[in-house]
Amino acid sequence: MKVIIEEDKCCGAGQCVLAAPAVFDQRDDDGVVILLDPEPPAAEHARVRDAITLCPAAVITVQD
Amino acid sequence: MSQQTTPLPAPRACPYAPPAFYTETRESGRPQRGEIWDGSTPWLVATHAQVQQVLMDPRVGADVTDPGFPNTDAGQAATQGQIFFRKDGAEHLPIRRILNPDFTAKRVERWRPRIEELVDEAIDAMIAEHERTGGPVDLVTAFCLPIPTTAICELLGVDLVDSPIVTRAAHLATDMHADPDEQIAAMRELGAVLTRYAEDKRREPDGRLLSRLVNDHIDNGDLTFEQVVRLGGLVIGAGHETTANMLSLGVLALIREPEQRDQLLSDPLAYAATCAEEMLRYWSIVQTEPRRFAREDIEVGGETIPAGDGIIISLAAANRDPAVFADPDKLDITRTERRHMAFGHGVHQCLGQNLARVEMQAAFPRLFQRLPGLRLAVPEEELRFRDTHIVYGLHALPVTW
Ligand code: SF4
Repeated sequence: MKVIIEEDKCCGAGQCVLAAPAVFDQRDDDGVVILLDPEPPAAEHARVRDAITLCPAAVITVQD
Repeated sequence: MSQQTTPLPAPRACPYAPPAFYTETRESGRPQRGEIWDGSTPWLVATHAQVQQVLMDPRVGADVTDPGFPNTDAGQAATQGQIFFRKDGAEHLPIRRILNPDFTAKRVERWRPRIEELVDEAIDAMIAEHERTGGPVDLVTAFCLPIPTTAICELLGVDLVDSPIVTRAAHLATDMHADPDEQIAAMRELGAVLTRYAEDKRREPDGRLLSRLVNDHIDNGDLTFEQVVRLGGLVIGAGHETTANMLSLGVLALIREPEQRDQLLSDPLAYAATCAEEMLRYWSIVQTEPRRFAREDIEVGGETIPAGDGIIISLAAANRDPAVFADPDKLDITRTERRHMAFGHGVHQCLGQNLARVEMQAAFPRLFQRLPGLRLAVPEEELRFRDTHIVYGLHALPVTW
């Protein structure tokens, strides 16, 4: 799984961090998403998919 | 479509369910027109999938000053036209990002111990009041308001917790039937107090939100001083009314359904978070918003919403959509389906959502742990719900134990 983020669209709601804290964080100065792990291990995949459905701004996509 | 249009916002028949027209619209699978105060007929959108679609569609606007926007009243464009979350694109996202740092998931998590303290202090004060008067205590004034108000004031860096100026401004701002002159006067009064605070923070920065805005974002041209003051007022207002109503309604739900309360108390650490999410879903307190308009023709559920038409979203109906939530009218604090949209969806999704979550997670279990016998002090039929407010809730919740 390869995770892709489109920073421009991010409103910083932080849903991704709640869903998958090992994969996503937020920048200190504007709350925009930080991708901690662009190729997360299998154990994280379900959480990444949760983050995708919860993200309000369609910032996150994956390539399998 | 029937000839007669239903007035929006539609009234609730049952205080524990969305208005029937909203549920019927969801069940029909298509957006339906309703009629608002000015005679225009915006579309009501009510299924989970359609609400999500509309709120994420870049062809859908949120600008209150646009002629297509379905205003809540005649004064809305004038009173709210300057508010960043009533704008789109470059007038919205950069300001949102200036506010974000104080509301990120991790930053808010650092407030948790302080919020837990606030919960305990509010319970201590309630117990003292109950002993002193021997009588019932109003949970809204003793518990539901002080916790979020104190938290938001501390986050902002202002000492206005017991200020009637804040209470009045926040209350009037969300009452759809409030006198616009009174609304404006109350906002001005709050603005004057915040102006003094903002000037003080210029001289003595304290690292809190207001100080950060005034010291980091004026000289570089991001914001004007007036914008900083207005943002301070918005943050106070939003953090004050919304969570307070979620707390009172959530406590009411746990009193009405003791098996849910017992479940929560059986393992508070395990259920604090799911309980908060379920209360958010079940009550979906933002009842007359979000409002939008179509900038272009858009297809929603087989209907074409023409460019220039208004759109009113029912979060409450969407959050009880059986396509997403099993047995959606049932309150179930163990539910793990988290796709509710109580905080809205799209780039305007609630800025303070993570703070609200922590406040609820701290408040619900602790209150019932310390006061296991908590019960209503009046018959349930006497409770008065906030039917005419943008944010649903209770005017008062008399309790005893
Ligand atoms: S959930 Fe989406 S919008 Fe929110 S911080 Fe994460 S990526 Fe950004």
